Formats: sequence, structure tokens, C-alpha cells
Amino acid sequence: MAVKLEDRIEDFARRAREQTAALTAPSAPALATLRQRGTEAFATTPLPGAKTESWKYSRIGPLLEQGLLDRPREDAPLPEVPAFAGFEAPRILVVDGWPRQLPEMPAGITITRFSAAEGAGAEVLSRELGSLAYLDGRPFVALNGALAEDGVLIHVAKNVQGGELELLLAQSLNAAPHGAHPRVLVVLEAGSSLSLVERHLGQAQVFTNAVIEVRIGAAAHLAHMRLQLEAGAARSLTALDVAVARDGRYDLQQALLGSIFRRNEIRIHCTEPGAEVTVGGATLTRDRNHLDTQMCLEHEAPHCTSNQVFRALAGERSKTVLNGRIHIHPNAQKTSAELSSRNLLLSHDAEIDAKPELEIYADDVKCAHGATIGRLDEKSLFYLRSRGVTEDAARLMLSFAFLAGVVDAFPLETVRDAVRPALEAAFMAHGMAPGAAA
Amino acid sequence: MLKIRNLHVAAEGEAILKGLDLEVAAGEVHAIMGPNGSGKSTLAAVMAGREGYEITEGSIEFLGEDLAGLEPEERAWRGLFLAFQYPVEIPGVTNLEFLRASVDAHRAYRGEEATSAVDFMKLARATSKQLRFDTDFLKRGVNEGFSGGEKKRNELLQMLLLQPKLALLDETDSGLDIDALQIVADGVNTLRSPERAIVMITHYQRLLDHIVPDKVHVLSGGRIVRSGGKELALELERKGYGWLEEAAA
Repeated sequence: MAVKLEDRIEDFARRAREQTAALTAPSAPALATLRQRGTEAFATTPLPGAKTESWKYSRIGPLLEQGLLDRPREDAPLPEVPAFAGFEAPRILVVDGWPRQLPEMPAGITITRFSAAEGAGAEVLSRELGSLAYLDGRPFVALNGALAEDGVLIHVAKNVQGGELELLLAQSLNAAPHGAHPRVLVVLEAGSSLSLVERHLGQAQVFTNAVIEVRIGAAAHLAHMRLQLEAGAARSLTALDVAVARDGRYDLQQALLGSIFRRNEIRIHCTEPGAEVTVGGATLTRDRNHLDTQMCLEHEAPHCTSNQVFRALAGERSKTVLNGRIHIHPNAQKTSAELSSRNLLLSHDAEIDAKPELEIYADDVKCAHGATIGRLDEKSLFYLRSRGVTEDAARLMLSFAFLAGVVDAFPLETVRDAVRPALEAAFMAHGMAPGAAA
Repeated sequence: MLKIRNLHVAAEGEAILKGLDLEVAAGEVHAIMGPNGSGKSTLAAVMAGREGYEITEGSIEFLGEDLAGLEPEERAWRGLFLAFQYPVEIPGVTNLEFLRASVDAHRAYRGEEATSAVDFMKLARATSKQLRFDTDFLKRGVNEGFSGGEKKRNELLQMLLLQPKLALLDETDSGLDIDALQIVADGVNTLRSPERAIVMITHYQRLLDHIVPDKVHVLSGGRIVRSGGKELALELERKGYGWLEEAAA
């Protein structure tokens, strides 16, 4: 007989608490504080149940299975990192939550393990770590803090142009089921810049519960590209908390595939006037895969702009969720906030839940929010076929025409050029392209 | 080349073509004229294989093969080309990408290798120039933001690149000013050859001043009610369609 979900959740929480208790306290003060706060918060924050609104479309079941809390080995064999045509940058390799390889960087850019941070790095950590990824009502963020083995600090000093950097969150080779809790803190001081390419790799049955905090200083600029281009059995939960200060710019472009469970929680705070945020998401789900994006844009200061564009394709029996919340605080006058979500169902059994949420407490703002769900245009399909293009090829062309605007917005050409074929390959696999509309 | 026999076609349960007969031989140019609602566009759609049209009786034979069993792309590969009355806009697919996919699909059917990007670009540019069609249109989305005349020229560009055996022009003159009409007509005329046939579907006679047909047919009430030479078109222009509709009733 099936065990009730409530019981499985309670069992998971109990095992997690036991595990936090069993860990020895780390010597690095920042890490010790992170662990302690996470442990305390996890003990008092219930896991999402069947009735938790923000988890309505994400069933927690796949995260609760046996083995997904097991501690990762520090010395597990490194994965083979698939080539990423044309893109070469200093690489941070985090495997099963352990920072395994960090690049040497020129002066002005600090990349260090939390456990090894000293001097200025330690100061930044004690000031910033946990300051953005708040714990209230977020049991998995708390769990990340409680079980983080270590973490990576990326710090770009004032007025330093940091160039390009690759952050790989990977599973080890032939990974056995376990829980990984990668933790990353990115701090850009005033006037600095960085292009960060974040890639998630691995398809094994591993629970990766990542938390990434990003602080963007005054007039600093982060171009952040997120690539989750592998499907499979990976259970992937990522919280991204970003704060953008005066005249700072944050550009997040994402190309995402679903997996058996994938959920991205993104909160971006415009904390001071003049902050500018752009977000793009080109997403594709297939098979029975799941992709949930919980997007929240907090406009906390006047004269900030945000522009978000999401394009989603869902095939077969997959499910895509986008919750797009825009919250304009009372003093955030002259805010301009836009969110466009367009979605295409490629089969009759696919599901797309696109939910706009506007909360506006200022009266002098421009805010536009649109969500549509449709199917491929039959007239366009016929037009292409009447010119000899096969039905499969026509569906592919039209589907990618739909995603093209978002893919084209990737700021690095080398990344853009790699994204499109990766998405195409995922599209063509598993016979999703032909009228899989069964 | 084309043999249509006793063709009955229904759309959404309503009978539109009611026993249409038409034969077109290689090398010929035919015009099918008729009032609005006579079934002209239905004939074009059913020949190209658009969904939603049901052949309830009769047949369309193209180069000895019944079209009913063929998908739209299979009809295209065999040499059938429909120039659309209302070409579709497809943002996000560039015109060049579309044209190349189309030409390469035809080449693949013939067992030929795909074109190289460079060769194709040369061909597309040369053909565009022939139509006095700015090559910038190759880089834009398919028909995206094109004027009516530009869309028709784009149809013709496709036709010249694909070199069909049977070109079916559905109201190709609509929305064209006189200069554009001349350009389009010149383009179509370059396709005239003993191996090819052209069928023009049109409401007005003026296109026929530029592309002179061998035969003219009048479609009314879902059937061909009269056939004749090019002088029939002039007679229609003078007398309208009313007298034929009365005669057919």
C-alpha cells in the first residue's frame, strides 16, 4: 500500500534533521554561521505540503525518495564535461555540492572556497552570506545552509571588469543517489562587471538543492547566463536571490530543459533607484518532464526598470510552470515593469501553467503583463509544407522561430551559438517533433 | 499534366465545388475566372492539400498520380506550386532560411545534395535582382511586415527558385500596383515553357493582359460553366459574370 505523502514528507524532514545534527561544525566562521542558521530555520519551517500555494504545480514526491539525503563524497570521480563549442572561460567546477576546481584569477577578482576564505574574502562572506537568500518560509534554502559542505565566493572588486567566467554545477561520474547542496555567493562591487555562464550538468538520480546569492553594487553589471540543458532523473531545485543597487544592471538569460523534477526560484530585488533588470527564458519540456519557474521581481525603489520575456514549448506529457510575480512597493514610483510569457503546447497531453501575479502599491508606474498559451499556427505549417518542407522540419522551424527572440538575447555569441543546437537536439530526441500530438 | 474529373469538394459540411472538370496540358497557360464565392480559392486550396477540404467525389490527377493521397510537401516535390493569395507572415524564420529549406527539400526528393550556403546565397540574390526585389528581404522574417506587393514578389521568388511543373497562381494580381504587376507578370512569363503549365485564378481580367492565357474558363456555382480562348476574358470584362450565372442556373 502506498505511503501517504504527509508521512513521506515527515519522514524526509526527520531524516534531514538527523543528518544536520550529525555534521561536525566547520571551522570557517562564515560556513559555521550558515550551517547554524540553516539548521535552526529548517527545524521550524514545514516542508511544502499538498496545500502550499507556491508548490501547487510542483509535486514534491520526486525529492523524497530514499538516498536523496545521503551525504556526497568529497572525492567522487569528476564528471566528463561536454564541450561547449566556442565558449572558453575560467571555470569553477562544483561537483555534488563540493567546490572541486577553482581558477586562478587576476588581481581584483577573488574566487575562493568558503572554508578557505581569508582577509577581504572572509569579510565579504561575513557581511553578505545569507543576507539575500532569506530563510523565512523556505525550507529548502534552510536545508541548503544546514547541509552545505562548502561554497564558492566570487568577488569582483570596485571598478574591475571581470570578463567571462563559467560556473559548473555538476554531478560526479556515475553518481549514486545523494543530496548535493551547492552554495554560491557572487558580489560585484560598485562599477564592476562580469559575464557568468552557469551550467547544470548531470542526469543521475541526485537531489541538487542549490542556492545562489548575487549582490550587484552601484553601477555594476552582471550578465548571467543559465543553462540547464540536460534532462533525465536529476532532481534540481535552485534558488537565486539577487539584489541590484543604484544604476546597477542585471541581465539573466536562460535556456532550460525540464527533468523529472526541476524548479527554479528566482527573486530579484531592485533596491535602489536606476536599477535595470532583464530576464529571458527559452524553455522546452518533453516526455514526462517538469519545469517550474517561480519568478519574483521586487521593485523596492523608484525609477527602476525590469523587462522579462519567457517563451516555453511543452511536448508529450510534460509540464511547464511559470509564476511571474511583479511586486511594486509603495515608494517605487516611476517603475517600468514588463513581463511577457508566451507558451506553445506541442501535444494534447502537455500542460502549461502560466500565472501572472501583479501587486502594485505605487500609483505612477508602467506595468505590463501578458501570458498566452497556444499551439503552432496551422496556416504557417501549411505554408511551409506547401513549399516542400516536411511536417517535422516545419514544426521545428516554427517552434524555434518562437524561441528565437529569447535565444538571440544571450549576450555572448559563443553561448548563443551553442544554445540553439542543444535545444534543437532536445527537441528532435524522443520523437517529440512529429505530430506527437497523440 | 493536370486532369480534374467531376470534382466535388466540401468544406465544413458545405458543398463548394460541384462537379468541376479541367484538363491542362504541359506548355499551356490557363485562366480560371469567376465571381466571388464561385469556388476559385477552394480549387487552389484543395489542389495544394490544405486541411479542412474534403473531396467527396471525383479526382485530381497530376502527372498521372492522384493527389488525394499525397501530403502538401509531397505535392510540392512532384512539381506543384501554389502562389498564395494571402502569404503567411512567419516572424523568427528568415526568408533565406525558409527558401533554402524549401529548395533543399526538393533536392533531397530528387536525390541531390543540399546546396552550400554560399551557392544558395548567390542564387537567391540573383533571382531577387531579376524581380527587382531588394536582397534585404532575404534577411527579414518570412513575409514579416512586407507590403501586399512585396509578399506577392516573394511568392514569385519562391516559384522561380523551385521551378515547378505546374504553377497555380491564386489572385496573384490582387494588391499590386501597375508596376508591381508588370514585374510579377514578367517573372511568370519567364517560367513559360513547353514542359510547364500555369493556371491563374483571378477575378479580374487585367492580369491576363500581361500573362496571356491559351484558355479561359469561367467558374460559377462550383463548376466550369464556360471555356474559351483569351477573348472570353474580354467578354467577361465587358459583360460581367451575371449573364453566365443566369445561363448556368
